[in-house]
Amino acid sequence: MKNLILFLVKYGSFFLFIFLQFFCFYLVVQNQKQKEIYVNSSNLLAGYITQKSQQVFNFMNLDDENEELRKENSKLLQTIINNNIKRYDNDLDTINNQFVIIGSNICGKTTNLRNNFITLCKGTKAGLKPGMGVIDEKGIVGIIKDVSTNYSSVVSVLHTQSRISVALKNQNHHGSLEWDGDNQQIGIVKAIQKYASFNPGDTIITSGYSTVFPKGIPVGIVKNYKLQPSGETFNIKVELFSDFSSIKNVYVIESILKEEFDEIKTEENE
Amino acid sequence: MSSIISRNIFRFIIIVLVQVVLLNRINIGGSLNYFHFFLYPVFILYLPLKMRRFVIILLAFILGITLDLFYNSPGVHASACLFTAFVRKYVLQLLEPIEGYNKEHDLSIYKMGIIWVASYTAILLLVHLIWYFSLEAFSFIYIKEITLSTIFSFITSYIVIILFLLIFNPKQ
Repeated sequence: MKNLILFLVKYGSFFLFIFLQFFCFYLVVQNQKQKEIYVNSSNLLAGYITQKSQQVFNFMNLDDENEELRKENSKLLQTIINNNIKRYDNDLDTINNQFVIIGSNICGKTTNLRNNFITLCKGTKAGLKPGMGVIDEKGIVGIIKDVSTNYSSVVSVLHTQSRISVALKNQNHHGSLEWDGDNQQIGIVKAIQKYASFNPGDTIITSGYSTVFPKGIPVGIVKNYKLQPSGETFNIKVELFSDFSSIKNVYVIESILKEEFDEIKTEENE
Repeated sequence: MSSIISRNIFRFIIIVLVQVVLLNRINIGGSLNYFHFFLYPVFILYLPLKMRRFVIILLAFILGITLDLFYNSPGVHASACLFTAFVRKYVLQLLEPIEGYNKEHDLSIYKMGIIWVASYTAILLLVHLIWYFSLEAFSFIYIKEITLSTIFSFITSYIVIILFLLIFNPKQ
């Protein structure tokens, strides 16, 4: 008995090592054979810690992930817009993908001035050009005015000089969307013909009479309206869909036919 | 005595957390999967001198199994840790100073000197990595991958461990 204890004291750690090592090899071989993980991280404390730390580290990739999502959204928006146009035109011969959408985030903006601008964090490098329309997920935002390599400045709808051609949904009466520098949520549609019939709550969309915005982008809903003193046209107050104070991601619309369209326009004017 | 236990439990938790939360996520070398950061062997390497050998082996096994839980690699880390703990005694004998070890001393840069620590860490880390990568591949037909992983991971891990020892360098 004494000898046995002496033996264990002397070589015990060696046998412990051999025993545990065999156990490890057993685990490894099991895992290799069955491709099944016995002690895995899905149901133990390890899983919890892995998940928590993942959550903490997630924010590091947030920028990249947002950019990915923006790209994906752009693609989906592009499909929707182009399909919509086909439907409006009742014409299957229209060019596929007449409009290309480029997603961007916002680097800066003002909303409380009389002439507000929005700065996008993308420029000529990403394919942006002056004159392109800018929308967000809710409605229209503005039109690009200047572009540098990496930035571009957008004339917001909330700019007293902003003029955008809009129309009543499901009717052909169109007018021009302006802003009086007053309320961030209210725009004014001028020059709607007196024959138009509409009610408060009707939707206003873009008219598609220019290549800046395709037809059918939501703008806002009719709040109230007034017949002008001349008696010929309505002025409609429109509650805008886009919330300019919380805007973060926008989508820039590029029209492939823009040059062709502008060419014929200038010929008209000559 | 209790201070030794609590200090080592604390060390264990810190080392495991740093390993799985931070080092596990570092990815350099892109698609080349040769760079790994191993900090945890430092726990086995710098357990107190007077600790019984079978306790060291048991602790190494617990450390290895804990890491296996996080890495989903049952047995691989545990086996490498066990082997490192087993070899530790012989490396200590190999590097024994002429005047012998003072059993009451901790193994630290402050007590043992930077050269001793550097060579002691290098030998055991290399042993650990060779064992680990061999077992991970589980076949010597991957000899090229095993060699490259061992060499590159040795460099990165060695830097991490020496930095760790310099930061946590007890003076008493």
